[in-house]
Amino acid sequence: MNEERAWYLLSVQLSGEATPEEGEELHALLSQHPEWGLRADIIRNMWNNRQVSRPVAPGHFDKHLQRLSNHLAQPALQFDSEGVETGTPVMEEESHRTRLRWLWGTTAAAACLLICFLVFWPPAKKPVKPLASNTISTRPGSKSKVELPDGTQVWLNADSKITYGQNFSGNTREVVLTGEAYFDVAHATSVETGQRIPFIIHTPSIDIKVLGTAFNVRSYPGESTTETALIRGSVEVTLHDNPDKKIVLKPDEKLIVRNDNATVVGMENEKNDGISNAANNVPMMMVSKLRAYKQDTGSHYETMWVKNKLAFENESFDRMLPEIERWYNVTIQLKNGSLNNLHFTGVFENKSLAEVMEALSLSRGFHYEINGAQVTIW
Amino acid sequence: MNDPNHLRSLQERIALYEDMQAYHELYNLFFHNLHRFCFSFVKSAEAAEEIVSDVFIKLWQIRNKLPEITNLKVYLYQIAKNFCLNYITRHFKNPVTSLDEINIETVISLDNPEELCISADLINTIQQTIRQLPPQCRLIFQMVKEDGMRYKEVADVLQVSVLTVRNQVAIATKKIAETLPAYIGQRQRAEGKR
Repeated sequence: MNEERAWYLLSVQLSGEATPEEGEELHALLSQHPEWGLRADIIRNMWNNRQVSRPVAPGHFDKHLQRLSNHLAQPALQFDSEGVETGTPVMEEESHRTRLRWLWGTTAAAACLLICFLVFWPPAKKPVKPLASNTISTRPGSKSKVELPDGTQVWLNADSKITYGQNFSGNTREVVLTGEAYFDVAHATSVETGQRIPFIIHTPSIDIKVLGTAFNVRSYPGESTTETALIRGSVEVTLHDNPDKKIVLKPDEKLIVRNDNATVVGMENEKNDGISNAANNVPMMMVSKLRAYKQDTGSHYETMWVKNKLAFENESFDRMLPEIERWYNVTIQLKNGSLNNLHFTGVFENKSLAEVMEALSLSRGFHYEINGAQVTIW
Repeated sequence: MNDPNHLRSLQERIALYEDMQAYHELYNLFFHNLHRFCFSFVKSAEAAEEIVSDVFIKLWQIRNKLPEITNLKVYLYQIAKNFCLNYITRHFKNPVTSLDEINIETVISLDNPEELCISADLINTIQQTIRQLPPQCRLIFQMVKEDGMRYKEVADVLQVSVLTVRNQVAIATKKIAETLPAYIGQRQRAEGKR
């Protein structure tokens, strides 16, 4: 009995769980019984002969990372599909599986029915747009900056509008944009799945999908093109007319898509100033470099408006005038069509409409008249 | 692996910054122990490595919730145990109902006889004794001795009481003591410096 007590106390001590009293008791027992001493020493030595922490060969972690990225591509862990069923009798496990299979079958059938219903029942309605319940808009002549519920910062240019659904902060982040906006998208990760939640912007001709990044989208209803200019991060653009084709932009690139028929015909490279051409010559879609503003590497003409600067770089008159109209909330009437071929480069900061018109007319030699909210050029 | 403050800081770095360095370090800290633990169940080094990898995939998937886990070590062993039981159920077509039904292969390191002051024969005897212990007893002994886990931690992982853990470790120790010679030169040729 005493001996068994001694081995018990030794095991507790070696496990690091012994109280001081137990330690003293063991000490007393072993000094009373020196014949146990050798065995106690052997056990102590054996116990402490723990393997020295060997370094882990790097191959293991590399292999693991490979498996991790495979799993992230197609979630649902292999072992997760069948829950842990410790202590469950065989029969019950079987019936549970059958029930699960049955459930899956019914769910799939119901889903099929629902899809058929949605596709065929309301003949004209498209069920794809997210339920829009919040709208932020700016009038011509004003700009605005807002923060969405997920922390994304949005600068809205004049005469623009974004709408987003009630469930915005859940597992989807989708907005519908009309006009021009600069987005600084905050990272968001789903609580349930641990996956990044993409941020999707719908425009009439393209959808833009991002994870976390800063970029400018210009999609005014009256204009012939939709522009996506990426400042940092990465975005993926899907053309509505060609959903299979996805275009991934790199920082400092912008994508220009023609609105009337947004199909891919080919990628033109930079230098090709598609905008200045007449509408007929504008390619269906092209990727070009952002137009950097002078030596200031951080600024681009595409996003100058965010800093309240009205900026043009080799901009054609017919594209400039709508911008001035929106900026100052005026209507401009152009009486001399040949002026459309003029191009301008310049930045206006905190200038009045009169100052802008005066500068333009001086440099290009045209006449203008401002009459309230009506501007006439000839 | 046994420094809770360090573990906590790794947990937070992974959760807040998706810090791959911290993730790598955590993997290295636990690889050998979790691998040994899984090997006890599945008895295949390859399968054990895949299960350890799955444990860390799971960890990455729930990285946002990491700060809520109070004892990460216990958590990792728990997932590993569940994955092992799933693996056994899938591969051997018989659902596992108790740990004692699995033929657990324990790995108790008794590598350097010189350091242990005992003969190779004696090591064989000890290993033999350990092999004859009931599976659950062996596993508990391995986790306490090899992985340096507290009774409470082992109890949480295996879902038994702390008392059970304490008793099983005591039984293992007593069995080993009983097979050891009381005096140098008795029965086995127990060599020693004392």
